[in-house]
Amino acid sequence: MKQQSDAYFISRVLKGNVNAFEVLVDRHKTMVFNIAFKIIENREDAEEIAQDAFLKAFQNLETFRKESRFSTWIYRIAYNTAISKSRTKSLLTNELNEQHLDHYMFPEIKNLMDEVDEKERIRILNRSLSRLPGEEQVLITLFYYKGKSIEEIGEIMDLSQGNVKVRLHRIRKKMFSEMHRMFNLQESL
Amino acid sequence: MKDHNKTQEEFFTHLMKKTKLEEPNLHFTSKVMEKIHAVQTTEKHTIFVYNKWSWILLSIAAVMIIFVVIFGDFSFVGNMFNNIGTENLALVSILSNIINSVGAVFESLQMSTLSGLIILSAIFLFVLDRLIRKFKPTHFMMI
Repeated sequence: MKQQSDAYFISRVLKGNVNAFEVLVDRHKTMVFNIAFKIIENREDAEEIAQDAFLKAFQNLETFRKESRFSTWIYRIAYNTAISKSRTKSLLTNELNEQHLDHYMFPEIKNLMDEVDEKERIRILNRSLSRLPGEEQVLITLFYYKGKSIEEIGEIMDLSQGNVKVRLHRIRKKMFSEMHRMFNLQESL
Repeated sequence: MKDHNKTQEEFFTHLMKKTKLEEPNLHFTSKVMEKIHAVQTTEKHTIFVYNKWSWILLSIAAVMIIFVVIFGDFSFVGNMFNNIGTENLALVSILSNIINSVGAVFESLQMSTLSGLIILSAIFLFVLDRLIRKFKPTHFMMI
């Protein structure tokens, strides 16, 4: 059975069928929650932010421009809400910095990753992902996991397309560097 | 160099697809819908929403109504800035005594008609608001 588009449910909500919004919430809740969670790093707060994002979207649904995707719009709301909440807290993160960027070799990392089992690969990947700042985690997840375009990511995170490309490149380097470090650490044990 | 970047890109894309996203609470959707329904219910129970423009319009309407009741004609514009006079009353005698007493108070204070009517209008609106609150508790006033 063909899945109805977001636009279909949006038009139903605007015609007065409030319950149609439930489908939109179900479809996008995971990514909206993850955007909030990656920035706030607290489950309860992230849930509240995600719920508020959907509430804001509902209340402002009439202003939604149908030329863009609903997902892009709701992700932007969630991202902006999470960012403004995070600025009221000081986040201590064990972040990767630029000094690590020169010390990796891609072929070596690829070989190392091929040698380990799937479970270990995922563990290393998640660990190096978690070392990134929240905004970078959001960016890389939107691009690689959700398949969002550079343009859409720029719209969600209020960045120029050039900026998005540069950041993606740097994030990849950081993650490769961290993976390499983790492998070296394991070997030394 | 381009091929090298492309290989990196493919490898990274392949890796990232394996990452798992966190799932929100099981009742997430129902909680969102509850909040939405709660907001909708509040909006439906609001009888009057008093923003500043509502206040101004209601005050003008109240002033005009009171003027008509007291003086019984529409030539009040000319009288607006004079002291209150009760000579032109067109009310039944019961009310005329009340009006005479109120008028006497304003005369003793040497207040203009306009000032007196603004005060009376504010009292009238306050009483109206209290009555509405009493009989419809979900009504709220936003100042």
